[in-house]
Amino acid sequence: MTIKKALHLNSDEFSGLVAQKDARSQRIELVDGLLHELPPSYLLHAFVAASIGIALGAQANGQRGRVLNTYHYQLSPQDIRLCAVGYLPVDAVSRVIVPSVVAPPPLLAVDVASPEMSPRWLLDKVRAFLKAGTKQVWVLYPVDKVIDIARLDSNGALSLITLDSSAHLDGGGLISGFSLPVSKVFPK
Amino acid sequence: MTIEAQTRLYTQDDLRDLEARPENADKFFELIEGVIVEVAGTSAKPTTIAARISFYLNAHVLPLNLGWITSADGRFELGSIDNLIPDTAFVSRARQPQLPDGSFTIAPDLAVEVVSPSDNLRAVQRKAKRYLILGSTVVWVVYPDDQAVEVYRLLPDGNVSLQEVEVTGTLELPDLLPGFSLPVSKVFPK
Repeated sequence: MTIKKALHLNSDEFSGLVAQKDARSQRIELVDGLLHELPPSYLLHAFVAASIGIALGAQANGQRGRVLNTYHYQLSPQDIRLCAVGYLPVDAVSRVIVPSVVAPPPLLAVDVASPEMSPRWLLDKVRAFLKAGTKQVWVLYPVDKVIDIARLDSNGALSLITLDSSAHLDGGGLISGFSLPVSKVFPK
Repeated sequence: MTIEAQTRLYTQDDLRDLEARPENADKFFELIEGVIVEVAGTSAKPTTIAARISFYLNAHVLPLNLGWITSADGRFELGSIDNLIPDTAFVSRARQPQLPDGSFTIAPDLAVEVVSPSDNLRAVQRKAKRYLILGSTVVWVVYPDDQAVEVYRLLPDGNVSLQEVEVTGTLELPDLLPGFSLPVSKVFPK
């Protein structure tokens, strides 16, 4: 469960917090202008995020794309959210001002579900990315060893497909040639 | 809660055996895709919300004799590996002309689940999708703390569609109960 601080910030103030050197400042988000502290990232979560990040990075770098690990993305003036892995076109990355600690919305966002996250929190976060222009969000469930692929359909509804360990992830039209067995994302 | 490390899919007989144990006399269990899950005890807010939804559904369904509204002990025994207890549900008379003596053996047209903050998103989604795969047209997942409802439907390609209805919105069921309209704000106690 996230901890909502009774603290209203604008995006510059939030970026200032993220830029601080302590690890705690790296696990925060700005949601509707309110500061939220996220649960810690457990070893299992870090492992599955790295599995995806490495595989995406290997494929994306040849396609004028860049993969960022655990980074903040500005989704609106009041929303800066963290995700475990983001895929952006090279030109979007190059537009990021060097000292910035916040990137524009990724084309693809990957996040890892944590037991402390309430169901609505995660759904809201997925929607926030998609409404900001992200084409797909992949939500990894390490305990169940499944991945939800989320998109917005033409009516604005969230469309979800669940991939189990017998399925393959593909780039969803964003990263051509990408293919990764779901079973390889999660440890045996 | 999963009962034990599982090496096979549990069946309706396993569920009955478990429920017959004296130590489980006060407990409820569901069977979801072959997995037995203990139903968590309900607290005041979710049960009140479920009762409100049930009331508004009945207010539309009963005068028109359109079917059956179940409460939180209404069971749906669906095939050999699913036995579900929605918080409230609607079964149309068109699909179920007479009330069965025991459990319903068809999926409800509408299933309603009221979520608690401790629930796991994956479990909520798995159950909602299970209703749809087993024949439900719509599932409402109600979030008391957020005062919002997620409307789940199955798309033709097998994907699940989620439409969020916030507290300012209205729940409607044009394909199941034409004319039914429930402002979401009426669902949540002030």
